[in-house]
Amino acid sequence: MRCMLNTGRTVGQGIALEVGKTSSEYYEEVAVAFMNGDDMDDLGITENAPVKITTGSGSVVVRASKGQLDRGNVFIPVGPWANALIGGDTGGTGMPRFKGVWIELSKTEDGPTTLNDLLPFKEKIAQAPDQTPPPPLPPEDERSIMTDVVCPFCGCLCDDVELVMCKGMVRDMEVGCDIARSRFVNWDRDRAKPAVRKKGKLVDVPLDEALDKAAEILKSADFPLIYGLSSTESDAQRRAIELAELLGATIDNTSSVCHGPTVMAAQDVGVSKCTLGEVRNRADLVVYWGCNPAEAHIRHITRYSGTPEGMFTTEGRKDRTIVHVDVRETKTSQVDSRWKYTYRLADQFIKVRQGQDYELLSALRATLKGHDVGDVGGVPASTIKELAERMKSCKFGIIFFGLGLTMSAGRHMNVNAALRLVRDLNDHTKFTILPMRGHYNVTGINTVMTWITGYPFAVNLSRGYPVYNPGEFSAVDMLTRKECDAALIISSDPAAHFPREAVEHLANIPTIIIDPKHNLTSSIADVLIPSAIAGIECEGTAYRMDGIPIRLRKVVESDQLPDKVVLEKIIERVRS
Amino acid sequence: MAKGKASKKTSEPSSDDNEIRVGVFVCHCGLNIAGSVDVEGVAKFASTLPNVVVAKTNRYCCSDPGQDEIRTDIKEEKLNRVVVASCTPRLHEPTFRKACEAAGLNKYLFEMANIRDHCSWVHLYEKEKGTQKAKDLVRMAVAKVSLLRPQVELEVPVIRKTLIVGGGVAGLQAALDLADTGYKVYLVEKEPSIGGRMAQIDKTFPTLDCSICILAPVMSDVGRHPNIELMANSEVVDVKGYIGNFTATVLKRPRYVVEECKACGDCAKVCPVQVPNKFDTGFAPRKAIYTPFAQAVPSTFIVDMDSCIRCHECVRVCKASGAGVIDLRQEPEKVELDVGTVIIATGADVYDPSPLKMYGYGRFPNVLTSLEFERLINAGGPSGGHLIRPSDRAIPESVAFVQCVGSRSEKCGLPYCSSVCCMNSIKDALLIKEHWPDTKIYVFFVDMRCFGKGYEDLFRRAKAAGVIFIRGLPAEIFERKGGDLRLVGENTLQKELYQIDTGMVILSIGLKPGEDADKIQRLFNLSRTADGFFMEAHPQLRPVDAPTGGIFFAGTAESPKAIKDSVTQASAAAARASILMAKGKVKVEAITPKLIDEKCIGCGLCAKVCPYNAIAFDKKTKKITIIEAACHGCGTCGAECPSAALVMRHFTDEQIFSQIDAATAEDADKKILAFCCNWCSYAGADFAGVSRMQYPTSVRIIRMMCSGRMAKKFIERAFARGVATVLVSGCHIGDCHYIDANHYAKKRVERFWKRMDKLGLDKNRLHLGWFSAAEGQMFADTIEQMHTIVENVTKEELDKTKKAFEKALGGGD
Repeated sequence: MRCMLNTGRTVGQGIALEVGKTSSEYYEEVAVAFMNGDDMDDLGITENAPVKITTGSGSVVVRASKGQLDRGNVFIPVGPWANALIGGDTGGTGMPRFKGVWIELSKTEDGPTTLNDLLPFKEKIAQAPDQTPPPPLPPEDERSIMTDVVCPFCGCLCDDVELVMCKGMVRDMEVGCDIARSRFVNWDRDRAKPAVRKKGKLVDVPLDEALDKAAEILKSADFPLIYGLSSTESDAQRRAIELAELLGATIDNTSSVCHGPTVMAAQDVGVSKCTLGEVRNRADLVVYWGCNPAEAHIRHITRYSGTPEGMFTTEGRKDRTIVHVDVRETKTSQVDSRWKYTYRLADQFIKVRQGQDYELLSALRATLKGHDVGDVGGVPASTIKELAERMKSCKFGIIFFGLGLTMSAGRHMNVNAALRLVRDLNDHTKFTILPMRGHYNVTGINTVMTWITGYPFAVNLSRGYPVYNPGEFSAVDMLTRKECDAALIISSDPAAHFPREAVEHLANIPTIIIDPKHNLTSSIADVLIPSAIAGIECEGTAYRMDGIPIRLRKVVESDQLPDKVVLEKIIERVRS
Repeated sequence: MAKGKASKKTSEPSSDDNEIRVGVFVCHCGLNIAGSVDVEGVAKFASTLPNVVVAKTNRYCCSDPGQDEIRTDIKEEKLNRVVVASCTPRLHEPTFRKACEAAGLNKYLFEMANIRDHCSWVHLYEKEKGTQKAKDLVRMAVAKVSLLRPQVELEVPVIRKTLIVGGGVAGLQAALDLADTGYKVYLVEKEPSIGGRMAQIDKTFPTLDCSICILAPVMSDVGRHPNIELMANSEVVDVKGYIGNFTATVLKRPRYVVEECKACGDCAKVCPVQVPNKFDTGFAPRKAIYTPFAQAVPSTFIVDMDSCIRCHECVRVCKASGAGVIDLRQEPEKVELDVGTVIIATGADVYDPSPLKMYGYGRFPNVLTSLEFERLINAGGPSGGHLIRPSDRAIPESVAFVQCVGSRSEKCGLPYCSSVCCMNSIKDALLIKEHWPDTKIYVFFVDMRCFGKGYEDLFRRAKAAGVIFIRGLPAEIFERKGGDLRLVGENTLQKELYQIDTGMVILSIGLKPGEDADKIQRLFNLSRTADGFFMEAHPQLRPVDAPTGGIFFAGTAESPKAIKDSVTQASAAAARASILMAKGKVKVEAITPKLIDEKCIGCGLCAKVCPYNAIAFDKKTKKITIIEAACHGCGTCGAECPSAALVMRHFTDEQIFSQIDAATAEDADKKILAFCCNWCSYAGADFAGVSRMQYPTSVRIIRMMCSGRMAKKFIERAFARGVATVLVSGCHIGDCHYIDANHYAKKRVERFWKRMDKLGLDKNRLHLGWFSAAEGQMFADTIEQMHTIVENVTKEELDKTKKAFEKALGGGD
């Protein structure tokens, strides 16, 4: 059966990855394909039965589960299983097609594909259920509450988190979302130790040895790649750029596989931006386009865009209209089948056909200019007219868009259309647009790279001056084309999130990873250097999705070195 | 307990001398029996049977004079055994047992021959053969009664606490009645709030009272009553024990909000998630943290974790307000409750009319169900009580009600009358007329059933108010432009076709058994009638008792009924439960096994098959101990015992053999010998009788408590006696009243089939059938089929079988 595949985040995936990517919890959450019930009947499979999915790039067997999807659509949460189906071709943008991929579904008797089948691990990894019981809550009198903690998980960068502490340890969370809770409560689980791969096996070594080895690899490389950096604080990001300059390396960050196309579109059109504070106080029309805040940015709606009472939004949720445009119903919005009203987070759900966001955005622009466009992208003309009218007549409008625009066909051109729509809307009213940034400091690395090199991502420094070219110097392309001969990965997990072709090259070259925790990339890396978790074990600065810098707090004592110090030590060794 | 040990062929009666004196009383039951059985002939025949000293007929044995006669004869004729040949023991065994006791005779020395339900009623037109069968049945009863022994019943205490399952109006009424009497009540409700269907309804009929206004005080009384422990959002997941001593396990699902919640609603205000409110039939949304309706009890909010996005915003504001009552970490909890009595008030569901394509429900927005309409017209509902139609939120100029949607319809599988819909529509029509007098209202009906107090008056009022009643349901409903609906059908009174346009159609949907009726049935070992509602112990005389002791019914769980009837039944159930608890003790039927130590070989098989762990087996000493209070008397152990060391009191091997022998004394080769379990298949045969389902006269039924009692020796004996076919029957697998004892009957019969195969016998002559108490037709059909085997079985086959099992002719206990 030919179907269309989308991949994306889910709450379960977000929580499970903090437990550990080799845990069976993670496996349960990401090795699953959600599909339409009738399609399942046609294939002759039942809930949790194995289903084989094949594309030109590979094939996996995962369990099938019934989801609220239209016929012919399949959804797999991001992870190695989804990535095995995605090709490395980025069309010169740095961004592979994570959404809108044609796949072939079939019934199978085969067992499910394991992690070991998927990734070119140098040692087989054991996938086991997480045995560690959650720490018991200490008695009431031993607990203390730490307030105003900043959560280092997503681009919302909530700064009102309250943690339950006992004897200097995080025991639980009082205020904050479940993903944040998982991040804080599991902060000391699955921690990495300094290690170097010797004769194919990772061997624990003293930190200095690992640092020496890392410096040696980088020094002897001709065309190294430095990648990651979205989940660390900005001082460390600065040091990484310094190291890249020193080595003449290529430096790229995770935005090349999330909002890289957004940056490119912004360079083209310009952006009418605002802060989330303005949204909270003023926005009376909020449009979520191609994003799923209910699962990926859980507190976005309660802190900024939905329920909070602001200066001009005194009635909170009642003063705002929320419209959700997406290719499928998600936890952000669903439509009641009998009474036809939208429920969950949004007031109105508009279903756009997969890959036709560009058309719909352009149709809205045309409608604004007084043209009659008819039905576009599966959306009736009346709905388009109504939405255009609503956008024109609001007092302060905002579009939050997600990877639904950047990862599907058209990529930066989709965002381009969205930015132009907002520009046009400003002829009528105040209208703004913001990307829903994923990792907590991915905005930071774009900002830091821009004020140091002039460019936000995909920068090559081998000529002694920065050269920016997404598609050439973006990580997926460099790996897929097998151009780089060494890699330094900083607080990121490309093995879990890159197309398989790219991961294969990463496994073949000497790879160094600096990360507080074990992840899938550490299983293919040659040098492991642990570090402190910024925002939990050390301080630092991070940039919220709207570009506001916020100081991260240190919550627990730790003897781990911050990324910044680790990088300084490597720089020192490279220099000597 | 029996005096002396049971031993072979020496059943010593405890009365004055050793002579057994049986009195047989054959009942006319008016013409119920006498109409198709020669009652006098049966009595005359009975007098020729061994040990029978008195054989009489009576017009009504169960009447006072009838019972008097029995009592007098016991005294004057020195009877020490009594047989009454009349109806089913499931109806009148207790009556006659009491009469015997009153005359000083141990009640276990009484036996009934069921010549009405199993004979006269099912052989209405075969007087001669029917009479012959009645004689056989009396012969079997006399044979068994001669071997019966006096028994002493074990007395067990009754725990003075009641478990009520379901917090609708019936459950609430029963809870209040019992709690006011002074008994402790546990009220378990699966929804977040008590109130049930009545809380959803706008007005009640026939008085047009505001439903929630009269219910809310009752709900809050229940919530505050010191004797009632309310467990909302909970479910019964396991039940053990027996009358007076049940242990129920209740799963309390987490609310994620503790009881101290003041229901201020700040949390719901900040909750970003809206989902359709089930209470409002999905018409309007609610938050993920919510209280289903304003008057909900308990008023504590609840988090719907399936919809929650875990933003913890509610936790934050609740903490900020100083209350801090939300705890999203709560886990489900299981509690065990010891109770003496149980009231099942689980209610009913409404029919979903989507499969009836011709009405367009689900396709046309302005076609609603009557329950949806109740929410729509309710001042507390989503539209604030304004009659608006979903398509354009406009007030319709005309409204049509369509009756019998999902009721009295074989097509929907619900052939019965739901009893409330006619009055409900009349009430709804009047409500519309009251607020929007110009609305044109049509009611399309088959029959208007306005049978209760004040109902006809309301009907008349509706007619006077201008509501138009048209006999003949629409054949089809079409949607017109603008959302109006066109109903097309035949007016069967005026014999003409109609085509009527209205702005809104309300489908008057019927009631159907609750979706978890299956689960409740299994948990409490209940039976259900053919329509799926729970079956009462007797439809007239014990309408609120379940066949299982200590369990009672209230409300629509038993059958569709209006609020008034539900409340009446609830009070009745409460009264019935109080009787048991006021007494404080109850006698357990003396049908538990007795161990003959010297015969026991210590194999431990009995302990293995006991569904109740009522037999303790000591592996070291190879001794067994019977825990009498835990035993339910199914007899599975007795059937399994290879050395006949367990004597099943009142159903001994010897007694059953005597019944087999008596049944096969004449023309064995023309007979079907049926072994039926007391709860399902015997009751199913009774049901065939009550419903006058006719079947061949060749069957003779032997009652045992459970098919688990069915030992292979009984089948062997029957075949050795030359019977043509044998039927082993019980409750459906999974529905056994003794948890899973019927599995053993199945196993034994399957083994027996193999054996017959090996011996070269026709195994079709041994039939295994499962019949529920409601499957009388299935029982009759099975007998019909087996009768064709009887007619075709050859003499050679019979002789061969007799020879194969001739060893079985000796022996007994």
